[in-house]
Amino acid sequence: MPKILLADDSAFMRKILTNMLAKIGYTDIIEAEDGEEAVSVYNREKPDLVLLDIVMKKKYGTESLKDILGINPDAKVIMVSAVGQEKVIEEAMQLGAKGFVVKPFKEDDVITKIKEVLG
Amino acid sequence: MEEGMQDYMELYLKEAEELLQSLNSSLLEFEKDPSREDLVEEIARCVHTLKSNSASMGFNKIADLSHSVEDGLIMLKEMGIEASDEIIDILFECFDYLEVSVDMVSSGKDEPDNSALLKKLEKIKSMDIKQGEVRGAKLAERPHTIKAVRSIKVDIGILDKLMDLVGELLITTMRFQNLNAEYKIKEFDKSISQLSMLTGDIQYEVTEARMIPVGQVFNRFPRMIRDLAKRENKKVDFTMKGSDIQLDRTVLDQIGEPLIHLLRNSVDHGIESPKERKKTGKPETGKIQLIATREKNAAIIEVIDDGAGFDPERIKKIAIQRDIITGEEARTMSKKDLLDIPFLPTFSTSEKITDVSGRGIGLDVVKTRIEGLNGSIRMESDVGKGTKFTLELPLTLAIIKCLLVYVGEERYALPLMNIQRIVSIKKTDIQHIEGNEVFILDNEDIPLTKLRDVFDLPSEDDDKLTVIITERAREKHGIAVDGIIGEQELIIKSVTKTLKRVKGIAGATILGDGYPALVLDIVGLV
Repeated sequence: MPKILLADDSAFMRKILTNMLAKIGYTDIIEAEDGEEAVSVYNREKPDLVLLDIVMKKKYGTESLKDILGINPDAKVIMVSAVGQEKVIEEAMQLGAKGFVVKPFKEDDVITKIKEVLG
Repeated sequence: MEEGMQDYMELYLKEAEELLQSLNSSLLEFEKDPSREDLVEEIARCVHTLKSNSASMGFNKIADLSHSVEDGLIMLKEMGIEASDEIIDILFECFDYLEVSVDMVSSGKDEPDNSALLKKLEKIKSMDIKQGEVRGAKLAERPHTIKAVRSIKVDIGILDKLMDLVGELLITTMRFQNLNAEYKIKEFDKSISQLSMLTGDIQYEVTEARMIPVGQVFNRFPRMIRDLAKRENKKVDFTMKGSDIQLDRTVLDQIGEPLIHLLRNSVDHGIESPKERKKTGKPETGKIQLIATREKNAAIIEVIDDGAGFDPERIKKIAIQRDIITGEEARTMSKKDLLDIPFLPTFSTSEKITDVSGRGIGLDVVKTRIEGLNGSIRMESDVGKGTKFTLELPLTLAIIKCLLVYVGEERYALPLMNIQRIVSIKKTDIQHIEGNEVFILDNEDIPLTKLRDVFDLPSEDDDKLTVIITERAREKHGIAVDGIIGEQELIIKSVTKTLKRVKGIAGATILGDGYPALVLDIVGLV
């Protein structure tokens, strides 16, 4: 089972994602609630996949992305964005994010994207 | 709310409150020191999170406004515009709106309109704000209260358990009262009366805690009425009042269907076609109102229409045709009694069968359902003017008012709701008609059931009988007991499967002296 890191400052969003992942049997989940924590947890746990929110406390998602890719250039990171963040998404994809999902989540899209990136 | 999101509501509300608190404190700080860009970022981050969370819950007005605030802040930051007092006021106003809206959705209500605020925010974005304009009074009026957590989610099972415990407490209190009545210890008087008051207060509060606004059931009606009216080619203006009136969850669960039936009846048989209405000088659009109000120990729900009303003459005609009453009875009957007839199972005033409410059936079913909840229903109607149904519902099902009686050694409780009066009759007044015992009261034959016979006890020697007159669906029935003890609020507990199969037993209760008593089901007995 893949180990997945959910980095989002909203416990509400983390809960929604955790439940979605549980439905497809992914229960090895670790959480981080700000950008800095995301990087340090990544470094410690080396998860197979990161779902990385863009607007977070302490460190913006794109900055965290750079740091995570600095630790592991092959890290699989999916950016979590909201409507109206097209520019940031573009930047993240150029930096090396493997994909993005948009809030509010469409469950099917999120699952498809996660499976696609995990390969 | 978005489907399937109910489970996240608690978390959403908790986070929304935190975010709003952070928004307000950051903005206050920012107002003092407008050079702090970090505060603008923090505010933008909070509204961003609130936006995403609210959009996920399907609270689109909250999401839209949050989005617009976020947009405006980003623009201010990017363009390096200093926030004027007016901009800060508008932001505070927006946060107030968000706070009120979160409050509304937390109690199941719709979010209020946000269009005026959206317009103001557009103004910020188009920089149509005069810098340094005199600050509006809005900010000064804002109450500076510290908001504590006002609601927490509690499992319904815990509330049921609490209600059970309150029941036990009531019983124990009654027990003390009984003991003190027996031993008359003066020193206990004050404490016991205090205990009884406190128990009453707790009972009231726990009953309140189990309440849910009727709006949760009412919500689906406007659409239903609209669709029905359209199908029947009628014009109906439907209004609801008192959606925030609260009822016990168990009661609320069971009134939906009876209300649907009454409302359907109003559209189908009450409101006339626009053509007919015009002919009789009424406005083409009929009115149906659903009004809930609360009294101390009951909730009242009224279904009112300004339609055709029930015609007493037509009720008479049909009732005679269907052998419900005789021609003689019809002549002497009061209007009030006539209006009770449509609640009988064999009655229907509609000669045409429609798929809206069948053959106008259902009034008897509605009545049975409401009475099953220990509630009551009555109808007032004027030909040509309309009909009004009034439902009186108990606030809770667990504790009901009963009449305590005794038969032989045992005490029994009868729900007060169905009891009309208590009379004393002579045994010699009892007549036997077709094997059934009947007595005459006010020129009316009333069938009699003796509880001594039901429980297989020998008859008493006394030549007088105490008879409780019950009334259900206009049918009177007498129940003979040995004597009356009095009125009491009792906690009804369900009985085991074995006892449930016994006809005439609704439940059990524990009396003040600690002994159990059976609660009798009048319908099952007669």
